Amino acid sequence: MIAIVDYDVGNLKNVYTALGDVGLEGIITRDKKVLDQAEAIILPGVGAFSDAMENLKKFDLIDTLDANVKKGKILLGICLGMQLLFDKSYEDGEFSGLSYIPGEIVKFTAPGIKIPHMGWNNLIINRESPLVKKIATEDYVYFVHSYYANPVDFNDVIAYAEYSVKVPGIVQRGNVIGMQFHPEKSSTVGLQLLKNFKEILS
Amino acid sequence: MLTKRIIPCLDVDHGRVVKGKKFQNIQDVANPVELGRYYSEQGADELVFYDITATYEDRDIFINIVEKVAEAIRIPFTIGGGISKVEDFRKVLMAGADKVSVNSAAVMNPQLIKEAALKFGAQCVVLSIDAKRNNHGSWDVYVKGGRENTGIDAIEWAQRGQNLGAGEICINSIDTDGVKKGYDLELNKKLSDLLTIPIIASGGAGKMQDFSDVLKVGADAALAASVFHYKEILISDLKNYLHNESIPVRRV
Repeated sequence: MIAIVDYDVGNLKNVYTALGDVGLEGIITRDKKVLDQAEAIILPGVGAFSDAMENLKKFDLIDTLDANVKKGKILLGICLGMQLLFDKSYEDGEFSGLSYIPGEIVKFTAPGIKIPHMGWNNLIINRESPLVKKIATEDYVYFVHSYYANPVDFNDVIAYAEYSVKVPGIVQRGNVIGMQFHPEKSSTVGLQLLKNFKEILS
Repeated sequence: MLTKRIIPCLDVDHGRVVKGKKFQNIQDVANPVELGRYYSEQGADELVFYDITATYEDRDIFINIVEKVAEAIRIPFTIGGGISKVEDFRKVLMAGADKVSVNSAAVMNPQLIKEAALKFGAQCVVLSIDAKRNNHGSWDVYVKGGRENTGIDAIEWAQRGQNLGAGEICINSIDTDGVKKGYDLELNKKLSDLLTIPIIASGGAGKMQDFSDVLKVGADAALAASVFHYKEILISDLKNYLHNESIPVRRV
């Protein structure tokens, strides 16, 4: 059973449905016992970084996430959920994140590019990983974000997309994984990525 | 490389997909869930649903359909039509939409854009503008399904929408809508040059070159309805055509 953390950051049903596509049973929850018992935890999220962190605090979930990450449970952050895995974000101020992966969340600044980075962009593999099994350079996933992760160690990046800079698309440090795009909205490529995620759980 | 998007748009009335010309002569077409799934599998980059029903009871039918379509597709899903308050945003987002398109209500109350962007994130707020050429070389914003001229300059309104926090602009040209003689290239070029958020061109697609033309002048996405519904253009063929025109697209 995969716990999808429910902390009032938008609709989580699409993530739940996509997990079902690859034969994973999801449960949308903020119950700490369920999070502790889950096989893996998914941290989704859309909206603003500071609001999301506030909500994690409000529902008293940070200690539970920390404890589960510490004991080696797999945590997958999606979109804003991935950004929360880093040390801090400069979205509308300066806010601390969960600090599971060293690095910062910064805004796109290149002149002439459209912001948000919105639409289908292809993944370029930075290092081999079971997470990108059967994923080729012509495979597109759906991004929508105005800030991107700037990791201290680019080796934490498994795949990235080109959009004025190298935009980390999939990151991993130990048992903590992040996807900046929406696998649940990325058609068959997204499903392949979720299948890969399922395989590393077993 | 970020690709240009092709977006089929479905007008939904009483739980059915319909399509009219110049907002009139509406005809019944198909079941929205089947059509949504078909487009998702065919390689559409997003799907847009407009609720063109007006009454309260029909609104519930529509929400029910949004839920079913969201379950059936694995591509981004935008909902528009009848969105007038922040609560409406919440309802359709909870039903499974990824973005919400707001039109007339934002003209009446521009703060709605700001409130929704703050609450749900700019990425899910699409400002949809119905624009029509006037006699002074510019475009006016129309509301109420294209029936009422507000006298507001469309370019200025788009700029203001961006400043208020819209994540995207969908520009629908009333002059070209349903006529199938191509998008309004001048309007789309002006907006694409001026704005820093993505632009979706809407209204006028008749042949594959129309898509290519508007994407080449700077639109980030092109939306169409009838050419896809009646299978005059298959999305897979269109993507191949655009690829050959050196326009970056996602082919499936």
